[in-house]
Amino acid sequence: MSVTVAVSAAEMVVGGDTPPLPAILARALRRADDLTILAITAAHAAWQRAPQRPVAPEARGLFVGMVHGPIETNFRYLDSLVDDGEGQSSPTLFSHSVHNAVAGYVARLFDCQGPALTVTTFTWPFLIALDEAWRAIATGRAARALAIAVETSCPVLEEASGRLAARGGEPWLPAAVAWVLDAAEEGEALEPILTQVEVSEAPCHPQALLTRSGETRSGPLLEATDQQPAGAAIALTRALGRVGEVAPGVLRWDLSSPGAQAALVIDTRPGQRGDR
Amino acid sequence: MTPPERIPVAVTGMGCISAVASDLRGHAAALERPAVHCTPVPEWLFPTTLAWPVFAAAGDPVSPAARALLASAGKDGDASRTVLLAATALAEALATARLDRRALATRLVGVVIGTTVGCTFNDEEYYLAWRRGERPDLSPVTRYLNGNLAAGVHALLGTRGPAAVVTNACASGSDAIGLGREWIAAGRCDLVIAGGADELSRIAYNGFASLQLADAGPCRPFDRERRGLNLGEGAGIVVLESARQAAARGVAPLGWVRGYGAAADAWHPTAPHPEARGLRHALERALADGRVAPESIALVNAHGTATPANDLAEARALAATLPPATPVVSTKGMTGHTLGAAGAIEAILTLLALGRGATHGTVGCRTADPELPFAPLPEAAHATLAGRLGISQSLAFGGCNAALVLEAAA
Amino acid sequence: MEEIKQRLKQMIIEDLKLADLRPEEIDDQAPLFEAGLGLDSLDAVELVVLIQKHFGVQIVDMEEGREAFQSIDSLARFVDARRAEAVN
Repeated sequence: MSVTVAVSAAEMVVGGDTPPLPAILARALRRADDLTILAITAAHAAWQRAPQRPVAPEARGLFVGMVHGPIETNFRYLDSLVDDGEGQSSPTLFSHSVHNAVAGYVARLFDCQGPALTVTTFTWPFLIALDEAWRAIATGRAARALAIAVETSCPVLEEASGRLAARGGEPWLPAAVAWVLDAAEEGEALEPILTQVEVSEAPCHPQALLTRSGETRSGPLLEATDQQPAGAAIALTRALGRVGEVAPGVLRWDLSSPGAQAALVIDTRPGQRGDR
Repeated sequence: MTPPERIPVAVTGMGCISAVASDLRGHAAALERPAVHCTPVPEWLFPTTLAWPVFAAAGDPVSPAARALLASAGKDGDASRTVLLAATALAEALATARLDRRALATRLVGVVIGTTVGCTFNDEEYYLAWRRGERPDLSPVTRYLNGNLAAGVHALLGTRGPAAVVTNACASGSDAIGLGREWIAAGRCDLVIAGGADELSRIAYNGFASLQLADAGPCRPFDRERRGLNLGEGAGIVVLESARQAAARGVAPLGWVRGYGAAADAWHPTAPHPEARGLRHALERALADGRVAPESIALVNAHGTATPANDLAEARALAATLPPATPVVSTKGMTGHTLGAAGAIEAILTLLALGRGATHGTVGCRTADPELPFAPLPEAAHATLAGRLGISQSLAFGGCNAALVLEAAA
Repeated sequence: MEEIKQRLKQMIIEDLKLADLRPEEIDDQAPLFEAGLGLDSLDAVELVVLIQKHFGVQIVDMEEGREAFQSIDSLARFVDARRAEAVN
């Protein structure tokens, strides 16, 4: 594998500060749930920020990582099933409660006709999505890929988490991050280069997966805040946005929790090609 | 860009449970003498007032071998039905691959499992109690947190390595096997346990009913009178490893995953692209990945859910990609639509048919729809296969499409 | 009939999330699907559920629905006729 993969853009939307979307996107999202709107908002920002390059639709890959994903929409569907009865439940809510509904919208709005994958896990699904995006470009299955993480708040699980942690649960922030990865052309010097993504999961007490207690992060500019489902993705995106504050070099970020270990390595040296 | 030369990825183990049977042998037998076990939703499964029939796994969802596996890892209490089905297929796949915990301990093992229902928090009782302002017992939450299938398999086997749960709706099982192939080909791990699992769920059952996608009788894939799908449940697991490693272990491959292709429709949340452009791209990629010519394909196991839209779109993709005489069947007339498990169960059925060198026609297709631009094998037909190369393909909600090029061992 | 049409328009705007439309902007004879309002297959099955919930009228399958869903006019006539049948 000698294709160099660069991170062309990394954007995020956190909490209530969702910027308004262009009208043309808003109409296409009329039925979309909050999860989808968050993801599209982040993806739109990242797509706008990335260099405008001619990438055929079939060469655009899409990789989404979720912890609880459309769980709120799933509960809204359950509301409609229980309150309105069988035979009168909402098909729109059901179809949006499927985990890859977000990918369906993103693919449509950004015309991504290459491989599309949604992965769901309790640890760091964004990093798994990022790794698969990297892999798709490295093996020539895509020339550009979007890697997305998105979560909403979830009062049901927040309450359960608070009880399990035997303390007031920290309310979760709705959040989405979107990174654009590009294959560097022959002789092209892009940075930062994505050098390595690794996630390894291990058995742990299920509670730790929900309360996210014991999750630590280390590496330059990486904050320890936002200990919640999309927290690591947010922290990494923030850190990536601040790499200009440190000297160019190979930067490594490590995540550790009872349930997993992960590492992300980027190379911010100008004009360098990362070898994996 | 030409894909790089790839390590051959062997299938050395397979395990399968569905309405058809609770093991591989039962599925192989059904390929000779298909039967349709389509019933109203059994009372013991979940309460419903709706009459859409389903394909329920009739016997115990957990085999004795699976029960032993779960018990040895202390995981036999309170596992979800999806986990039980997955464990059954897993135990059989490991046995056929001649692998046990000891053999796996020295290897870097990847686990990638597809599911739709298996990753959701669907405990109605808990949710309704919470909605009433109560603080219900947390067991359902714990069960949800214990439900990650890939992490669960690693925990059962005491292994470490890459893990992913693919939630690509109806294409999850195909994508999981495809991802497993990518991991082996990239040298990321020595061995991958890949597949899919899903249980019949009241949520999904009502969801598909509300979308008007269900048939009031046994489904009729590609039939002129087709009206929709029947939901099913089950699990399919394969063991993948490099051909070289299989040889070193002294295990003869059951077959190979020769190619994988995936592509998105970028079209609509629930309807397929009318020309199934995503599936066409996925097929082209899979064939190119395997360096296999369309003319070499001896059998296609289609997605064939029996919805009016899917079967037509799928037939258009087939007509654009494969010679018209290529035998195409859907097996959903025997399994129902097993959602996240479908791609995996059907990959296994494809390998079994290719190994047998023959296929029966599409169960439920009494008269193929003349409007279809590609003629599938109807129920009464039988075909002797011209080779051992085949395709198993899936089209999903959200427009994900996946195709696997598979080869059976002689 | 006028009341049914108004309720239908309100229901379509609210429940199919056409937030940028006002009822008076929906032409009684304009197509609901493809052209006109541009509703799609997912809206169609949602509409079946909405008609049942708000008017108590069941649409058995999409064949039946197709006729009724031509326009607000046809939908109102369909609902009106079904409710009259139920009473008799």
